[in-house]
Amino acid sequence: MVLEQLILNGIIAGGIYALIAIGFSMTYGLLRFLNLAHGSLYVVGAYLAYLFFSLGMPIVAAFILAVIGGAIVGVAMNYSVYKPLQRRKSNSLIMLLASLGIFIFVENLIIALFGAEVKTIRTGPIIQGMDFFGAIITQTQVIIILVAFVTLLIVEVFLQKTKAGKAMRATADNKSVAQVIGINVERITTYTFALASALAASAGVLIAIEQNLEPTMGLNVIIKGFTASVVGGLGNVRGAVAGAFLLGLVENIGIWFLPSGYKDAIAFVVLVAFLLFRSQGLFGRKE
Amino acid sequence: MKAIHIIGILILAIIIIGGAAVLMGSTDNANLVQPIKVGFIGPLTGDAAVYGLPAQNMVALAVDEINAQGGVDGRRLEIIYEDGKCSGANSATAMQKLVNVDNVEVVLGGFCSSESLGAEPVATQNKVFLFSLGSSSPALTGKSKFFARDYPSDATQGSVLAEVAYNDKAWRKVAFIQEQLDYPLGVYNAFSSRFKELGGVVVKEEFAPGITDFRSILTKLKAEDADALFIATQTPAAADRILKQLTEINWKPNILIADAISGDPATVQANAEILEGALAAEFGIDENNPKFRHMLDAYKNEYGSEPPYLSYAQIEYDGVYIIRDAIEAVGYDGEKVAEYVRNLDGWQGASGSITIGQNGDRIGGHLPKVVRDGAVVLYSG
Repeated sequence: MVLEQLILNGIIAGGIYALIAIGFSMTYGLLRFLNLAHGSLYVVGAYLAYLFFSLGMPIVAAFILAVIGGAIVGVAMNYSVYKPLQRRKSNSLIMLLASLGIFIFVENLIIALFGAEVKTIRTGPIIQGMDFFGAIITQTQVIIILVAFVTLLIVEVFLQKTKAGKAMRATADNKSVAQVIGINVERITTYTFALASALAASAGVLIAIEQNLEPTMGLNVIIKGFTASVVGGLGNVRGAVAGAFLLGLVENIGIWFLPSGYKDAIAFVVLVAFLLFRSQGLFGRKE
Repeated sequence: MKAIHIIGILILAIIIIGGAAVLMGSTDNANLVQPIKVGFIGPLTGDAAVYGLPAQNMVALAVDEINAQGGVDGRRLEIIYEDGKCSGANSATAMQKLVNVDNVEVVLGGFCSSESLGAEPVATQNKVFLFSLGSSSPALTGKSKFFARDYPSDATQGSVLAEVAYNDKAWRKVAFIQEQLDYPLGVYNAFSSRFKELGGVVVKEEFAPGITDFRSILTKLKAEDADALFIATQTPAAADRILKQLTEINWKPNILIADAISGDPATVQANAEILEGALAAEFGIDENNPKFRHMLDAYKNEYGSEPPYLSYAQIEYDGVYIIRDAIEAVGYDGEKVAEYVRNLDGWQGASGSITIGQNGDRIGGHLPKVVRDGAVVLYSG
């Protein structure tokens, strides 16, 4: 019973990590730097949902609007900061610092707008979970898993089958060649940012409903999303998904054997192990 | 072109001469107009901001009152607020800044025990007095002669709860979930040492601050089959998440909570069902104390609502007045103020009569409480 529960908890955590890690991986593939501000979009999504929900909207409408809002913020971020920097041929360290700046800016902006205290989105009374193969799961968690899986499926189909998706992968693979064969790299970058940001925002909304929200919630999730995408092979979307679920499971099953204070440490051990022994990640290619 | 240059030079000259005149004119009565600067360290962002922001308001209120009465020895009292973020490292940095940049002699804070533990070494090295308004970790007892607090140590909170749990409730095994910070650790140490002494067993799982998913930790503790679950978090927000997830995994244990949780009416009310019968030990308030009543009214007048966490509010309010009395008695000197506060005996404030021992702790303790219908009331067996 305990093991089933831990596995289920791992899958739920993995679903959230996956939504973050995919976007992280996609923007890395395109711009070749660690976009720390990706965590801000998770926070922005959560707070937008909170805002719309507290204005009296039904939670589903709040969710959709927050995801769209997240996508717009992500695209705006690219146009206002990353694009001008790229035009000046800034190296990836400068881009990294800029993204850190955005991350801190957004955190403080949210403190200024909403206050530093913890907020809650309560869609109803707290109810007992349901039994699921010996483990207990709540309605919200079922929704998290469903949303995560459906989204992952849609993204996969989009990237593999559609023209825009193929163009995104081509651009991530080699920007110059993509440009030569007539792909509008600029437009594809915008699409990628919109998609990656929407995914991060959706993860933020799900966590906001399931747990609660605070301005500093982005940091932990960036670390986990980053770890998952490194484990999966940076720039590789399928790898990011696999890495996310691996991380969620290892973390949650690991604390059965170790004191639970080491939960985060387990994540870092996985990260370091991959960097040392398989730096290209699960599905990555050696460069 | 030339005219513009001349005008520019003239303006520059006026600024320089004027500035110099202002500076020279102010030197002879500088001490009279310059305010007394006192530092403040508390959690102004993060989960613990629910304490830090009201603490900031309460301190500001007391300072306004003092300044309206003519200040301290004719000088205005001014507080420089720094964010300790409930972390030792951030508080040490804040303390460095207060000591080196603002040259303060006294700092009010930290609020979190981690903040006080982080800032204390810097205070001691620089002979600056650190006066905590809320840190309760037993690890701070007798830490330095430059540290004191007008809040009692958690040593009594832990032992009071251990005795009720073992003797009255006949619980023999308690599962303990503890956030990895100094205040919850202090509660754990005090509780488990007394509970084990009595013959009980304590199994503990820790979690890092910032963790929001407790399901696997709770699943592990549930499998221990203990008589009760003790929840010791730094903030009500973390406890709220734990309580919610307890309901979700269908676990309804007997519960003990640290006073940071029982002291938050919103959390207790929101989780009234699962907390019914939960035990706590609190450092209480006396609503009949006229100084306490005055504090409540003044706060309501200024901010439009009652202050949250009344047992902390009274401490913060008193702390500012103790510092005023100390500076008036011995002058603005960290070492002398520290000496004065350590000898405080029967000082009357909003939190009642305050006596501080040579180990820097307020003398007095916690009383056992129980949650009934979403309210925390005195435990009567």
